[in-house]
Amino acid sequence: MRRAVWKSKFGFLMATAGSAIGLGNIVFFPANAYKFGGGAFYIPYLIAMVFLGLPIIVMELGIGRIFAKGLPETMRKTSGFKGEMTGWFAILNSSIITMYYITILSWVLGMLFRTLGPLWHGIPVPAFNLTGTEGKGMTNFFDIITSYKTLLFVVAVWIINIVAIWKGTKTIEKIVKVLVPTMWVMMLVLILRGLTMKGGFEGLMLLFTPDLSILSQVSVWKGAFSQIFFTLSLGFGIMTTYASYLPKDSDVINDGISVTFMNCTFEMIAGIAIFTLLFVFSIAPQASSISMMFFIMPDGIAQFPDGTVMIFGVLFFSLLFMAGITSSISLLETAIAAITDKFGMARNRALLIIFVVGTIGSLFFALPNVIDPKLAVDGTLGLTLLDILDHWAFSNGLLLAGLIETILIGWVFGVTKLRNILNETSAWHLGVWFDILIKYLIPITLIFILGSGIISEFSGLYPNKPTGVHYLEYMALAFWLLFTIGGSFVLAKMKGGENA
Amino acid sequence: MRNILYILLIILLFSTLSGATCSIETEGLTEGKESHISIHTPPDSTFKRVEIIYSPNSQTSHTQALPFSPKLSFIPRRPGIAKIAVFDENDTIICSRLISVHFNGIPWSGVIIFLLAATTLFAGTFISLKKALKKD
Repeated sequence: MRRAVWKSKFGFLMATAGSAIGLGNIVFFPANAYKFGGGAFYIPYLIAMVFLGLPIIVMELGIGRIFAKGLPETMRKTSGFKGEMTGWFAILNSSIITMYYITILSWVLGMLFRTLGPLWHGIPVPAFNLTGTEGKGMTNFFDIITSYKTLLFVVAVWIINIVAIWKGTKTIEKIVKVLVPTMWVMMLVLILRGLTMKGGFEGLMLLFTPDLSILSQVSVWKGAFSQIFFTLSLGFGIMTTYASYLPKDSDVINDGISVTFMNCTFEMIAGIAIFTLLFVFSIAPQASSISMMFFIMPDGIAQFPDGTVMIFGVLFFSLLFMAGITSSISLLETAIAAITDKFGMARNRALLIIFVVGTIGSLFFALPNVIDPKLAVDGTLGLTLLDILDHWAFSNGLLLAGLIETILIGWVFGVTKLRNILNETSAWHLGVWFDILIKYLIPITLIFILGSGIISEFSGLYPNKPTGVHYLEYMALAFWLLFTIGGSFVLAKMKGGENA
Repeated sequence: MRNILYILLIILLFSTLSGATCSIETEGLTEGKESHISIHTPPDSTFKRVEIIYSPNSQTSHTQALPFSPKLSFIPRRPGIAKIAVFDENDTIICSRLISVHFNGIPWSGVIIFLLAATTLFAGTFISLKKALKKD
C-alpha cells in the first residue's frame, strides 16, 4: 500500500508544532521559569534548545524521512534488532503516557464545561474534606475527578482522538491547520488581557528579570535541558513518524528548526500570559502542572472583572484542550504507524485495537477516584498511581529512549552518513559539530540527567510513600519495566506481516 | 506532572489555615521603599514573628524575618511574588498571604533578556517558516 503523504508543508509543520505544543508549554514552562530564577532560566534554556533540542529533532525527523516508516521499523533499518527494540520501547513507553494524558484531558474537558457556570463557585467535596471555601479551581477539580461523568469524558476524548486520526494525515492535517493557528490567537488574546491589567507589565518583567546567582546550581541546567527535551516531544517517536509522511526531497533540517522555534516561541508567549496573571493577582506557582492548570489559573481568572470571567475561563480551558488534542493525536498516530508498518495490519483494525486498549487504560487511571475517592487520599491508587507511572514513563522513559536512539544513530548507523543525506536536500548545511553533538555531547548530557535522577532514587524509590498498598511503588516500577522492556523484546522478535 | 501529591499537601495546608486567627493588609509594597503591613489579631493572641518569603516555592526563595507588631514597617528587598507569614510561639504559621512587590523603576536586565529571547525566537521562527513555506 502506498504510504500517505502530507498535502502541504504548512500542514506538516502545524502537525509537528501542534504535537510539540502541549499542556506542558502552557503550564509547565511558566512553573519551571518561576522555580528557576525567571530570566536566568532563559540562558540555559536557549543553550539547551540549540545544543540538545535542535540536533535531536533534526535526527528524529531525518531518519523518518529517509526510511519512510514508523519508529520501530525505521530503527530496525538503522541498527537491526536492538534498534527495533528501542523503537518499540519508545512506543510502549509513550502508550502509557498517552493513556494518562487522555485522562488528564478528560479532566480539562470537565473543567471547560464548568467554565460556563459552576467553576466560579466553590463546591464542597466531602471525600476530600473540602468545604467549598478552599478555592474554586481546586474544589471543582476534585469534584470532577470523583464524578462518574469523568468516565464519559474519557470515552469522549478517545472518540475525538480516533475521529481526528481516522484517515491519517488527511484528517490530522485538516484539524491542525485550524487548531494550531487558533491556539496562537487565543494565547495572544490572553497576553493582551494580562498586559493591559494594572501591574501586567511588571508580570512580564518578573518572567524575564534574572537572578543570575542561580546559574551556579546544577539543578537549573538540568531543569532547562529536561524542559527542552520534553517540550519538543522527543523520545516518543512522533517526529520520526510525522516525517515518514514527507516527500523524499523535504528539507527536514529547516523543518526541525521551524518546529523548535515555533514551540519555544509559543512557550515564551505562554510564559508572558501566565506571569502577568501571577503578578497581578499575587499568585505563587506550585511545582506541579496539575495545580497550575486546575487550581492556580482558574482562581486567577476568577478575579478578572465581572463579565469577562467566563469568557477568559472558556478561552483558557479551550486552549488547554486544543493543545492537548493536537499532542494526543500525534501520540496515537505514532502507535498506529508502528503497528501497521510492522504487521501490515489494516488501519481501521489498528485503530479499533488502540481505541479499546487505550480507553481501558485511561479509564484505569480515572476509575479509582470515581469508585472510592478516599483511595487517593490514603495514597493508594488514583493520582498516586498516575504520579508514579508518570515518574517512570515521562521523566525517565523518554530520556532513556532518546539516549539509546542517539547512541544507535550516532555510532551504529553513522551520524556522518545521516548528515550527508540530510545536507543534500537542505538550505542549511550541518557541519561536523552535528556529529560531535550526536555522538558525544548529547549522550553524555542525557546520561548525566538520567544518572543524577537514578542516584536520587536511592534515597527512596518514590519520595511520597503510598500507604494503602504496600510496595505499590515497586510494583509500578516492575510493571513499567516488564511492559516496556519485556514488551519491546517480544514485539521486536515477532515476525512482520505481509505488507510490512 | 511530577509531584501530583502536591495537591494533597495543598489540601492539608488549606485545612491547617482554615482556622486562621489573623488577617493581613498591605499597601503599595515596592522594592527598596518603606512599606507597611497591618496584621489584625484577636486580643489574647500571642505572636512571635513575621516572615517575608520572596519567590516562595522557587529555588531563589529568600526570607526576611521581622519581629511581630500589629503595624509593621519594612523595606522589601526584592520585587515579585512574596508571602507574608505570621508565626506563633510554637513556630506555627497562623496566617499568611501572598502579595506582589512592585519593581522600583524599570528592571533593565529583564528588558535585555526579554529583547534577546524575543528577538532570537521570533526571528528564528520567521526565517525558518519563510524558507519552509516557500514551495507551498
